[in-house]
Amino acid sequence: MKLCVLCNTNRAQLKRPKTGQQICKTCFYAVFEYEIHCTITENKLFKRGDKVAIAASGGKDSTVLAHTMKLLNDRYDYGLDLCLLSIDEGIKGYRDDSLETVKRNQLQYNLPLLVLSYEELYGWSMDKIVAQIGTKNNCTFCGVFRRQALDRGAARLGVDHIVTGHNADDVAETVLMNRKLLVLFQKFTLTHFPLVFRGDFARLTRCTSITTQTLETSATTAPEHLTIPRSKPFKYTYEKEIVLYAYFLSLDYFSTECTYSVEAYRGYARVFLKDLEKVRASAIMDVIHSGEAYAQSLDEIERVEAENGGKKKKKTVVQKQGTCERCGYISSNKLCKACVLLESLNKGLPAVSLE
Amino acid sequence: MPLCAKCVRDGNSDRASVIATRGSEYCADCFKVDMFGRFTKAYTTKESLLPRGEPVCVAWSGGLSSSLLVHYMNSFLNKNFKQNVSPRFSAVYVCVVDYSCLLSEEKQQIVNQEIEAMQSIAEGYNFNFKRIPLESAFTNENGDLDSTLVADLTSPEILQLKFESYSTSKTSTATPISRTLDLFASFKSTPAANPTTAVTLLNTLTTRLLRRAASTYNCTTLMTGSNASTIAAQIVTQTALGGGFNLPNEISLEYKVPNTDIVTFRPIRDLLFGEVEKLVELDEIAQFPGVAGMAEGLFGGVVGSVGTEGASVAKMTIQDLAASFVKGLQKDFPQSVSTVTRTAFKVQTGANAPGLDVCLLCSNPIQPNSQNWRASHTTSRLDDIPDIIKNEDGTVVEAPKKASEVPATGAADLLLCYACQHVGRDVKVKEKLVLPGGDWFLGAKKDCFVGNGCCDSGVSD
Ligand SMILES: [Zn+2]
Ligand SMILES: [Zn+2]
Ligand SMILES: [Zn+2]
Ligand SMILES: [Zn+2]
Repeated sequence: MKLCVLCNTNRAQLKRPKTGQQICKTCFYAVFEYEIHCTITENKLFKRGDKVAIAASGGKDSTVLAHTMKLLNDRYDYGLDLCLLSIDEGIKGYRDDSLETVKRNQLQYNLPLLVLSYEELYGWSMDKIVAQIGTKNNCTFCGVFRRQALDRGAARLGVDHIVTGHNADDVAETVLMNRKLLVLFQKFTLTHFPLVFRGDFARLTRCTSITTQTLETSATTAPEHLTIPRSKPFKYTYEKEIVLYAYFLSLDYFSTECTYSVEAYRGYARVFLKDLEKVRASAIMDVIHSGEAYAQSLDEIERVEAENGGKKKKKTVVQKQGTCERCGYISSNKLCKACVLLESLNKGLPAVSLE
Repeated sequence: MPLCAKCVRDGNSDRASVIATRGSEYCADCFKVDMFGRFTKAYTTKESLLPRGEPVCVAWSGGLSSSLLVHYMNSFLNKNFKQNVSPRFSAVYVCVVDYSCLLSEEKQQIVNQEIEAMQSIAEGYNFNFKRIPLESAFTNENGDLDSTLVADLTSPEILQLKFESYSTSKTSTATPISRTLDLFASFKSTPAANPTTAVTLLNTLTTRLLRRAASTYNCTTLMTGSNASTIAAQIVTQTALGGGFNLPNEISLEYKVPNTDIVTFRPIRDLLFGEVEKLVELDEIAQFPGVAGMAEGLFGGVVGSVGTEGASVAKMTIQDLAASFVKGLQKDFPQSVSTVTRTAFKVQTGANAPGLDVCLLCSNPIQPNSQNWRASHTTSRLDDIPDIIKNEDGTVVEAPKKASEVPATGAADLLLCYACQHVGRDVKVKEKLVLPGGDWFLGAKKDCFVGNGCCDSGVSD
């Protein structure tokens, strides 16, 4: 019998993906949960009394997030007021079922839940959008709409902070497909990510930093009070470990892929990352480590380029950082991305390019 | 057939294009002039660190890029000569690091012949030719066995370690070759990351040998033939190995190596591999596939495509994966390499700030506060998890961490950069791994030597 290398008492039951150590379930829970606790405390993500919304999709990442946030809040007495926030994109057969999961989670974890629908927010459900534009660009809509929907939902709930289920794999993937560094990888990665909140192609800084405050515009120019800080307690948590954790604890999550993601393919960067992980377990952490070294500089490059570009086209300089004319959402242009997309939808036009 | 764009503009409309690159068509002459112009332009940057009129060391791997570089150096210095200007460099040392000791006899013969041919080319240009055996990493200036490649021994703690490693090497019957063979043999088995570590180490030793050669021959410039395609692969590799901090130094046009007088110079880093290939063909530059491919297949080396399923991927090195990743990308998007490099060239990480500690293995700067990064995001011992104490008023505090004698980070980790820490970490049979620099590279406690049983050294399963 092989003993767990951590406690030297129990039988080893798994090879820990992040370290390759042979460990028992009890020790796995302990290190898994403690690492997330460290991420939260070392980065001072919250303060006592904060109202924190957990972006809940019913998928594995957000289900494990709800579970661990609740658990750590109790165990370490963070003093947080937790709630679940779910977005209903309006995808029959997919979202119906995953929302059922979220509703069960609400009861299991005894947390208040707010569900906001695209229909309610934008007048268009994803099913309706697909009926109009086909399945080709629908991920663009999904990502832009969801990003705003979370902010609006959070504002409605009066929360101080949103936490999302972005995990280490997501963060590392963003380093590799960063639009500035490896610009073209993005073309491979415009895929559908409905289960986790990763459709928003954030800038590298936003993704490698744990807390992001601004969403639509560059971090340096956006007025901070307009958006609600978001963070990723799973920044250093491997996707494989989230799956194992949910599996061992029999957490109730929804695992069917989004109906519209069938034709989408996984990005080169993701495949490459998985290959790296096969060669060296710590590769995901190593990529994040590199990404943290680049982040500040890439943000600066982007800012300088935006300024230089702005000098050439004076019009964009006149339009100051502000809010969307139509809906009041934070935006550096006259209309926010969601309103631009809505306009094209309402006019019956094919999707416009956002980049 | 497309015509040369420049010649058409100049009225020589009959000259056929030999290559389409950078959005234009070029005839052979215009292409050669343009490319050579890019090489000479590299000498004219503002605030250049390059010394003038001093000896230069040119690293020749036998590959197309560095062969072109040697060829360019000859044209460049001849031009100086013809134009009657003082030569940019007072002497040229062409250096080939020879991995023969790792090769089969059959391969050794091929390498031997090719290196002789390389020598006569270099000497034909009036350059000095130096063949540097890999195993000389383990020799000191007298040629004696020396298991310390440590450049800067100022800290008392390191001096202590150095002394100990000396005392062990004195009693051994090892030779430089046996040391080298043992070192690389210790990477032949599992885990899957070993081939990657071996290739990393081979590259590190090669760089160190070249830098040492440069110092030995009083060269203040060390030139390499990195091109845009190899640099793109380098960007992905460095990122994947966790060495992002030092990336700017690995790809910049000029890099002043810390604690030395050497400036690394990469004058053809903007040339695309396709352009290098074309120049080699047009100028009929001799090729040395045996020397260029010395390391191929030694470690990992199952080169497949990205996304290759199953076991074959695990046998690949991260360097292989990165190269094929970039290759696939380049095939689908020919512009991608320049896009990637153009941005990466602008990235600053603070790695050229003065006064940074340098890594004992690769001698590149160590990112401040990075030594405990890994341990602080990965809990690998229960002792690191503090107990929770419930106060009477219901509040909860964490007990002080159980005072652990041994930090999660090995002593040697503190002396190595993040990327080099893999070397000690990835190898299972630690007593077999002797690095230039001594046993204490292995992440063990400094007073722990193999056999004491106080650290996780030894028996593999
Ligand atoms: Zn255990
Ligand atoms: Zn709007
Ligand atoms: Zn021409
Ligand atoms: Zn190093």
